[in-house]
Amino acid sequence: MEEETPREKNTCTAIELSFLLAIISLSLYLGYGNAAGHAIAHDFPVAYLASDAFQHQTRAQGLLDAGNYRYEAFYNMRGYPDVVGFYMPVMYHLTAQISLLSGLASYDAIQLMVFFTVIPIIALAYFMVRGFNRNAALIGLGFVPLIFSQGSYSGFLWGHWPSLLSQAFLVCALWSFLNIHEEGMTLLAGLFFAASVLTHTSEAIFLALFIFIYALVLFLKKEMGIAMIKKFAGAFALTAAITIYFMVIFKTAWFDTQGSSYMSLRPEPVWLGGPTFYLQYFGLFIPFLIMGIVAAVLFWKKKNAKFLYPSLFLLAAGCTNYIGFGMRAFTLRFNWPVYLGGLLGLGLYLTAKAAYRKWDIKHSMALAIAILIPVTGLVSIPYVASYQQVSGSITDPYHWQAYEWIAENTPKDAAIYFLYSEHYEQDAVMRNSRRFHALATLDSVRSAMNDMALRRTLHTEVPGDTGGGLIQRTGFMHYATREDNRSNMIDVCTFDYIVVDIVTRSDALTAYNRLFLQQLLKNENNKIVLQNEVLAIVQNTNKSVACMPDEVEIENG
Amino acid sequence: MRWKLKMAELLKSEWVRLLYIAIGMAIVLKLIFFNESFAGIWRITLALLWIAVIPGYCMTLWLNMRYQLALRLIVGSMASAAIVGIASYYIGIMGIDIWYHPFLIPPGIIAVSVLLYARKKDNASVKDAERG
Repeated sequence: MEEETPREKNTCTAIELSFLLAIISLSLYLGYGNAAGHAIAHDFPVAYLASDAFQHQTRAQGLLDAGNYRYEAFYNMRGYPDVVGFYMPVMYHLTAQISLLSGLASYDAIQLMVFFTVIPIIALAYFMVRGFNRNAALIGLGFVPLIFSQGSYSGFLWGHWPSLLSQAFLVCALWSFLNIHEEGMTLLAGLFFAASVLTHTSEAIFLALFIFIYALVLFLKKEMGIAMIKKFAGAFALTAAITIYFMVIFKTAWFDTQGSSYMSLRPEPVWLGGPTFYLQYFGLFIPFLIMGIVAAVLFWKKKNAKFLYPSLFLLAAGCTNYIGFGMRAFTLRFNWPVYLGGLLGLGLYLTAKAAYRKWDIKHSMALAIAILIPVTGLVSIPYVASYQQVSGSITDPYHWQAYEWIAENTPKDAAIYFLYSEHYEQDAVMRNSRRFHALATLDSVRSAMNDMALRRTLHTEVPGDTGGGLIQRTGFMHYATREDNRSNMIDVCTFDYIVVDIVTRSDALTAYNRLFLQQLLKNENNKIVLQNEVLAIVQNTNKSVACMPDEVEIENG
Repeated sequence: MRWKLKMAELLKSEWVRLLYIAIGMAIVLKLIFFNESFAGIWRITLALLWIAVIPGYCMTLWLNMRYQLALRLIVGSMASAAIVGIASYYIGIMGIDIWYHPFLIPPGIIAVSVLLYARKKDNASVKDAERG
C-alpha cells in the first residue's frame, strides 16, 4: 500500500476538489433539487412525507413565535403552555436563524439545513479516507448518491432530521478526535461532541463508544501518553460544561420515560419503523466491500490507517440493531453509502491496482464516474441500488391555506376541531394551525357512519408531541413529568372553529363530512369563514348554546 | 507586530478566495435550484456565509489550523454552526429574543476569534523578542 507524504495528505489538488464539489452538487441536485422542484422557497411544505417532518418544523416555528426555547409551544403540547423545552435544541435554533436571515419560512429553512448536512458529511468522509489512500477516497465518491436511494431517502423525507444533523456533527467530531494531537483540536472535538449531544443524543452515544475504542487502540499502539490523555479529558470536560444544563432536562424527559427503550437487547434484523439502508443494497459491489473491510482491519497498525477507523466503526455501529440498538442503528445507516464508500473504494482500488499496476487518480475518477452511472439510475443494473426520484408532500395548498388562515385570523386561545379526514392521520401537520386543536378519531366517525347518524359528541384525540413526557419545572434544575390523557368523548360544540374536509379519498367519508357541514350551517350561530376546493372552516360564534343537535339521523339517499 | 502584517497578507490572499467561493456557492445553488429567484439565492448564500462560513473561517485562523482552505471552511463552518445553535439556545433562555441572535452570535464569534488570534500572535512575538 503506497503511503502518501504529509503534504499530499493535507492538500487536495484542484482537480480532486472539483470532483468532490461535483459529487456533492450532483447529490444535492438529485436528492434535494428534484424533490423540492428545484426551488428552496415554497408556498407550502414540499417533500414533507411524514408526520415527524412536521414535528420538527413546528417546533422550530414555536421557537420563532416565542423568541426562545424555554417552553414548548402550547400548540405542540396539547394546549399546555408550561411544558419545558425538552427536545435537543441545536437544530431548531439553527433553523430559526437561517429563517430570520434568509427570509425563508421555517418549513423551508429546516429542510435546507437538513439536506445541506450532506456537504460536511461527504467532504469530511472523503478527507478522512483520503488521509489513508487518495484513490480509495475518490472511488468511494461514486457511491454517494445512494444516500438518496429508496432505503436512505426516508431519513430526509420522513423527518429523521435531528439524527442527520447530529451525524454531521458526529463526523466532524470523529475527524477532530483523529487529529486531536494537533493544535486547537481539543476545543473542536469537545464542541462537536457537545453539538451532537444537543442535536440528537443517540449519535453522541455512538461517538462516546468510538472515542473509547479509539483510546483503547491508541493505548495498544503505545500512543496514549499523558499529553494525549489530557487532550481527551479536555474535550470531555468542555462537552460536559456545555451540555450539563440540558442533560438534566434530558434525563427527566427522555431517560426517565424512555431510557429502557434505547437498547432493548432484542435483535431487530429489519426496521419496522420505515425504510433504511441494508448492506445488500450494494449488490454486486459487496465482494469489494468485504475486501475493503478485511484490508482496513489488516492495515490497522499502518501509518494513517486511523483514518479508516470511522468507516469501520460506523459499519459496526449501523449493525448494532442485532444487539438491540434498534432504531438508533438503523438511522445511522441513512449515510452508510458515504461512510462505507471509502471501504468500497479501497476494495475496488486494491483489485484494480493488482490488475493494472499503473493505476492512478485519473483511473480512480473514471471508475467513480462509471459507478455513478448505475447509482444515479442513468442505467439500471440488476442488484445495484440506485437513486429514486421522489416528489410530492403529505400536505397540499388547500390545507396549508387553512392552517395559515387559522394562525393569522383567530384568537390565540381559539380551539380548533378537525373532523376526521385521512389528511390529518399524520397529525403533526395540524400543529401549523398554531392553536389548540383536536381531531375526531376514524373509529368514532366510522361508527357514526355505520349508524347513519351525525353526532355532536365524538371520540376525539388531542394530538401533541408527548414523547418527552410533557415535563414541568418544579424548581431550579428540577423537573417532573405530567400525567396526561386528553383523548376522550368530546362535544364538537365546545370548539371555536370546526374544520371539515369536503373532499377526501373516500366517497363515503366525503358524503358524510358534507352532511356534517350542512348540519352545522343550519344553526345561525355557525358561519363559514374560509372555504376552498377541499375544506371549509366553520366558526362557532356562540359556544354557550348547542351548535347542532346531539344526534341527527341520516336519511337514505 | 509582524503578525498584523502576516494576517493582513493572509486575509488579502484568502478573502479574495472567500469572495470567489461565495460567488461560486451562489452559482452552484442557482444551478441546483434553477426555479429559485436570483434574489432568493443571494439571500440564502449570504445567510449561510453570515452564520457559518465567515465566523468558521475566523475560528480556524485563531485555532491555527494547518489545513487547506477547503477543509478549514468545512470544519470551521460546522464549528460555527455548532456554536450558533448552542449559544442561541442558552442566551434565548437567558431572555434575549431569537430575533437578535443572528446579529449577536456570528459577529461575536468573529470578534472573539480575531481577538484571540491577535493575543496569541502578540504572545508569540513577545516570546520571540525575549529569545532575541
